[in-house]
Amino acid sequence: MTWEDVKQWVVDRKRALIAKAPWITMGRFLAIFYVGAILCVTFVAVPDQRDRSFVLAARYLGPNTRMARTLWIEPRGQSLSDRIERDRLEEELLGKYVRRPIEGGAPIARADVMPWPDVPDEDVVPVLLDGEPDWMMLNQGSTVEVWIGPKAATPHYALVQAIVTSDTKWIALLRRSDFAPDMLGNPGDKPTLRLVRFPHKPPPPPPPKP
Amino acid sequence: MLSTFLTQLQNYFSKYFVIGSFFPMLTFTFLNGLIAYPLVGAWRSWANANILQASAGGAAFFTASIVVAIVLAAYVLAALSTFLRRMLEGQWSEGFRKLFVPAQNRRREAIVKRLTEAGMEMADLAYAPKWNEGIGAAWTEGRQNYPDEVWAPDPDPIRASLAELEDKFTKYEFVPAGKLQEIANTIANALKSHNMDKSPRLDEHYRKLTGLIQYADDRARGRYARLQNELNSNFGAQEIAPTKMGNVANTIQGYVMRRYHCNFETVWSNLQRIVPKDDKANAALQEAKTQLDFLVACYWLTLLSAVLWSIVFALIDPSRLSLLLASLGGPALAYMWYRAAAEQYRSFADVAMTSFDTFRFDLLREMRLKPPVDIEDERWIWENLDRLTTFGESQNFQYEPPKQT
Repeated sequence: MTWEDVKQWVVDRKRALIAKAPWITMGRFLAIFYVGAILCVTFVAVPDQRDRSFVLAARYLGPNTRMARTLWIEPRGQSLSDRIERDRLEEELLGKYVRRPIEGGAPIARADVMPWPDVPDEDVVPVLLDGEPDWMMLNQGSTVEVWIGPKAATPHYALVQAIVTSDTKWIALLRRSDFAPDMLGNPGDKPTLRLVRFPHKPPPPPPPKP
Repeated sequence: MLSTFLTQLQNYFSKYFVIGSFFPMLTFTFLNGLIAYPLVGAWRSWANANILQASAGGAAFFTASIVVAIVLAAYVLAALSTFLRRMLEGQWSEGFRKLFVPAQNRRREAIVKRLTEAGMEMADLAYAPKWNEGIGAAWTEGRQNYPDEVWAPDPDPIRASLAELEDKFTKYEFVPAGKLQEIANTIANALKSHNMDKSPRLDEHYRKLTGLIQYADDRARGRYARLQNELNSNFGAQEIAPTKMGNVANTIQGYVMRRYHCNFETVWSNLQRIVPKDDKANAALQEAKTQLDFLVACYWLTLLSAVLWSIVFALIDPSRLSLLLASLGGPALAYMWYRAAAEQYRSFADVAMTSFDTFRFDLLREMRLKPPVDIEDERWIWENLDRLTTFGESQNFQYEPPKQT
């Protein structure tokens, strides 16, 4: 096949295309080709800005903390494109759970959250809340006491493991070991939660004894 | 301060420079600076330090420096305006032109085809008087030979055909001559064996037919004129240009050639010396040209801005969304400027043609040539002047001395 054959083949294909779609002109063909090239370059060669976007933690966030707007601060001095991507990040963070401990003021990215809490493999007690809590105060790491009627069901307070939602109900997950053994015999009992301490960073473990 | 500056600028430069080159350059510099402010930290810091948060003296110095730079850039833009306009007119290399001329040719052929159809429709409708004669003869024949025959068929074949055409009339659609002729023949055939004076329905059909023929004729003439104007205002008589704007530019030459057999390109610069003698005509010509220059400048500055920002967002500060906006939105906006410029070129062409119509005799007088006595004489003068000027053929003209005042 010579170069002349190739040229003739191209000319024949062009004539056939024009016969089928006379609205295709060289200008429109070049415009379509240009748009396709730009899209290819944009999505293949230009890095995804999404991976660079982040927000800052408003306080210490323990693992399984449920994310809400009050728990992060928007970083300042970002460019317009960064701000657009950050808005997308914030939409994706809402309602997710922190994957690892994050210090106050540290950046939070997409990789730091997960869709469902990773609760330890032990028995949990679900306690129904009256409504959506204030996430800054009542979240994973909050210290609470549970009452069933006039009696305290938790002799030494309990640590909230996570707060999950089912339809419109909000449920706090507490360790069964935090409850008095004889307080959970009646399934009809409705425990109520009372906040004792805000979520805080746990103290460092004591050094091992020599 | 800005108004004082603009007044001073007008004293040194014409208002056409200010509008056609300075304003576009000023606007695009300002807009690009505004876009860069939140995106480029170095520019934001410099602008804050030297303009926005600087002392009055410092801000004035830097602002004036920027404006001077803009004036210089606008001057360069003005110097390049002819070249930039010719680029949009399609003054490219032959190989590149060949890729785009076929599409423009197809556009032209589509108009010519519709024009031909309208012409044929007009030619068919020109036979309408003959149809009326046929009906008249049939009416006489029927009245003489069948004085008592009444035409009242059921169903009425002519009513259905007329109703279809009346529906087209109501919707302001075209009524084909062929259908009208068919109905005329049907009425004539009916009249040959009936007495129309005793057949009110036939009479009514004939009156409706007459109205429809008049409507069809008016529409066909109007359509023909409109298509002819569309062809003349979009394409010249000479070689087809690869761009819409180039073809609009050719309409000036096409008109002058068609009307006067004059090669406009050889007399255009001479005409530009004549027109300023009439202030109003000169103002109209310069205004049209300035608006054209303004739009051409906006096109190229938009394209330049899009290219620069595309490079920034692709290589320096990579961002997919911003790259798409710059590389797709910018050219789309530039294309809108181009379409506006092409339409403005039509206005400029109208003014240029009018200028030639008005000042062509003054042009001949400036060349010391005798004014023509009639149209044919004028055409002879322009044709032979072109042969002399363009091809150097041996042509002789008698000079006329200027009149002593």
